Amino acid sequence: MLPVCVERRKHLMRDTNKKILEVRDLKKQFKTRYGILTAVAGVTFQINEGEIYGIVGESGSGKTTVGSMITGMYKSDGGEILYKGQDINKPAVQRSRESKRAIQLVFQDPGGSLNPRQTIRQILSLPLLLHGRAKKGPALEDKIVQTIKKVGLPASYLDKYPQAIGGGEKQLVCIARALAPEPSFIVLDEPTSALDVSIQAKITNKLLELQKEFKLSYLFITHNLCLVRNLVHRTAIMYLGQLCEMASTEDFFTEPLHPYTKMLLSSIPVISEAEEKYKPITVRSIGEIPNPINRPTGCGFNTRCPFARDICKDREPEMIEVKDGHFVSCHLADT
Amino acid sequence: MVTETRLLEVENLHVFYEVYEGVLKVLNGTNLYVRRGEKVGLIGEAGCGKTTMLKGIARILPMPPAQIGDGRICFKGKDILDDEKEGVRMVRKGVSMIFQDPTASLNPTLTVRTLMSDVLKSEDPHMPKAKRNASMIEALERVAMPSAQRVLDSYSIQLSGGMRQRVCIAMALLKDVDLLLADEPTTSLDVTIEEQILDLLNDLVARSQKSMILVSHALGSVRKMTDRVYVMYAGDIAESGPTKDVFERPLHPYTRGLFEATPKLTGAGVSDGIAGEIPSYLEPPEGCRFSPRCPKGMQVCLEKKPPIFALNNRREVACYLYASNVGSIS
Amino acid sequence: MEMNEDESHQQRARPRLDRFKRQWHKFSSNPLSLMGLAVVILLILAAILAKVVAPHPDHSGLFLDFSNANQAPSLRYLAGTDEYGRDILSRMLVGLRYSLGIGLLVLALSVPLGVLLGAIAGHYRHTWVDTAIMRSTDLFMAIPPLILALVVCAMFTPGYFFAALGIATAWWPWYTRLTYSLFTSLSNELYIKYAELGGATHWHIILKETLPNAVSPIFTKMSLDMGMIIIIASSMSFVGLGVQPPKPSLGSMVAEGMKYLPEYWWISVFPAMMVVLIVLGFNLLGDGLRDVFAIEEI
Repeated sequence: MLPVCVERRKHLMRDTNKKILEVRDLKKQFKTRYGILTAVAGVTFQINEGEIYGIVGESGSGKTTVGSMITGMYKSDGGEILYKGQDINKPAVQRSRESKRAIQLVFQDPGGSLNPRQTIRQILSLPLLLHGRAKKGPALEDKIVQTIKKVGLPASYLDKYPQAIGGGEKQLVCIARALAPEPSFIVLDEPTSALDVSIQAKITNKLLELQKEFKLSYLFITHNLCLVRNLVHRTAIMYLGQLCEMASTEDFFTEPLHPYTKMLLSSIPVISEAEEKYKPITVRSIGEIPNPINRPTGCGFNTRCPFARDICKDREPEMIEVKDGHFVSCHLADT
Repeated sequence: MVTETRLLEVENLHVFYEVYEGVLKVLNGTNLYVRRGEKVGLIGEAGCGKTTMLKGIARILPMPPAQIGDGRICFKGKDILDDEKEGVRMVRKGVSMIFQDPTASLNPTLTVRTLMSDVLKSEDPHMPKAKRNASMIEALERVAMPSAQRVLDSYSIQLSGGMRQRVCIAMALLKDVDLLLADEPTTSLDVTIEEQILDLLNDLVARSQKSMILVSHALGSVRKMTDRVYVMYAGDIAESGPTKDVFERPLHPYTRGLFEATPKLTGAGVSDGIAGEIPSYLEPPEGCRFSPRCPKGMQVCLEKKPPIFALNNRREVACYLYASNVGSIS
Repeated sequence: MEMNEDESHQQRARPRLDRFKRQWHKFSSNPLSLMGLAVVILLILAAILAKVVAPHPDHSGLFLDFSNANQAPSLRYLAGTDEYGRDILSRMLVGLRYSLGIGLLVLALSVPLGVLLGAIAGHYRHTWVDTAIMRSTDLFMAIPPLILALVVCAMFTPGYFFAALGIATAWWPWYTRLTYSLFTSLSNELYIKYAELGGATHWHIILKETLPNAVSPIFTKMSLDMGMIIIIASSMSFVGLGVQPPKPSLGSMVAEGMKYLPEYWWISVFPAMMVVLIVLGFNLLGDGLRDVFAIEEI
């Protein structure tokens, strides 16, 4: 028979309840010719040690920007980011060495994130040297070999250029690069979206393996809900820069509360009848995502929400805990 | 309404590319057909040859590296590969195509009005301006475009991704074509917009009795949209049949592996994927191209390429596992 | 899957070689590029072996033979002789040395400086460093190149090196501009961002990450520039700056022959044709290089 997923749900159990990353009221705006673009409008969430946390959203949701601020690519315009209690809400160059090493990033586009003029060896030696995992010399070579083997690629790949290897393998190199500094927390921004389905599965498996082996925590950013369903412990959904709903993955998919969540879930094209039955009550998709430069007042989703009322246009809803661990930001949930 | 007449029939098509390393033998005697009013899906992963097939039908293959070897493509009964000029003319008149990236398909220096009227002018140079305008507005309204007049005067970069794709669809349907080719039309769009566009396409195609070939690696979209589906692997058709049937009961080990590897909404976990890699087109395996990776591979699979076995219910599989099931209920 | 020492060393040699083979294949598929390459190689060889190959090598120095002055092209003097009886072909071959040499010298003086400045400005874009460098570049570019070259050259005693210096003064800004724009567009690449995030030093990013990706267009420009530089150098010799007599230079040979047109046409025409040949060769080579580097994807 064809390979079947092993350990179906065991990986979903968390080890500890210690917070590794905490984000409070994080904001980011960009000034453009046409006005101020609010990318992130104040998001608050936390990730525990050993947890895989997923943020889903469509374009304009701000999920990538959140990831960028956590890794220090952008400076935020307000709010806090705490790594193990330490404030890291500043661009990467200003952060402490330790926090720079501990938080790593895997980009979406494996082709574009590897320097085409460098060999894999050179690409992997950079993080090792930068974060003090090795010094120049024979010990460096050993470390490089060790690193590439962590992701299951052979040492012979070290002499190749990125163009010579396939998309899935390029992504494995990116993951190896993120693992080189021996981090504790990795932000993965759509790491498998550019890959074929059969390769996606391999990469995803590898990520799970590595998470267990090196006791990592992940922030997994994607628009692929089916992937999130099977991979992450907790799921959060963003729309136009705001967090709409956060819950354990099980609760998120079986009892979605926010209208946007319901709309998104009912729009996903699925490939089996069994999955069709799993979709929530159909909330048809209407309208388009508004331009983030002209954000609607109040709740960002009110222009498309079939349940919108006056209060939705006037006031932004608060994030409240409806059930244990299940948070939603919607005026409807108040009732 | 699907009729029995075959609008398009691809027979024994061979397409190869000449590159530095040698010859990439992509399509090796591939067969495909589309009936009038039918929506056919072509699924497979990157590099399986589905875009090559589509471009071959639309006659827009880049001919220096690509070469068409043997084979026929019969459109409305006539082989469009036979007579170069006539074939291209037939295709230009009867086929239109929607591409993956709407931004790249629309010239950013021209307004939507210019783009659309160019299409109309190419069909009927003497159409009066008023009639052209009316046709354009009507076309945009058919694709549920809000404020059609304003959109006509806009440039493509002023529109959102979903709107751009709607413009592309409107342009594709401006001419009265028989066959619509769609190459990953919703891949670059958000999920909620994707649903709207797919519903729109569905509706338009059904109402106007056109046929459609939808190429995509997004399995769910194809399942929603098509009547019949072909599954491609490394340039060969692995299996085909009515969409519902193929998705509920995949027969070919590759199709099974593909569906298995797709993460499901039911939360069954992450699969292990399919062992091995896509073969190189330079030296494709003898015999079944999937056999090196097939968990059920037999000796004969490695040696000889399996023919297409026709099973009941319009199901066809290119796999020796079903050799004895020919004609019986699988 | 461990490889033993020998195999892994062989693997080591291959990626670069593979890449070169692929580029050569692309380059050689265009007959014009091959022609350009052939012409350039031929010219370089002719320049190196000038004194050996020339039929009358001593004519390139002080030489007078009025009895043979202004002879039309013949078997003895394949390109004829000039007003002093010197064999034009031999002088052309030696003059070729100076022309090619000046081209290389100008590039050697202007490219490293120009690229370095452009790299620094591009890396520190939107800071005062950027403004300082690029506005200075604009300043130099505002002056017509030939005039600038002439002015610089005239400040010193006319001669080979200062002619090159003069041209280089006018030439470096173009490389700064090119490198600047290359660096600016490359700065959006993810791998550059990654290096910045990790805290790599500025020098590392400039030299190891960005610059290797910028060299192809720079090399192409260098090849295309050779022709232009040689023409400018010839123009300068034409007006008397540059290589001084009796050393031959293609430009001054053309100048000297001007007064004898159209009767003794060969004195100007053959050196001029040589300039054309040099420019053509380098231009075709440069075009070929541009095509090769344009799409590098496998």
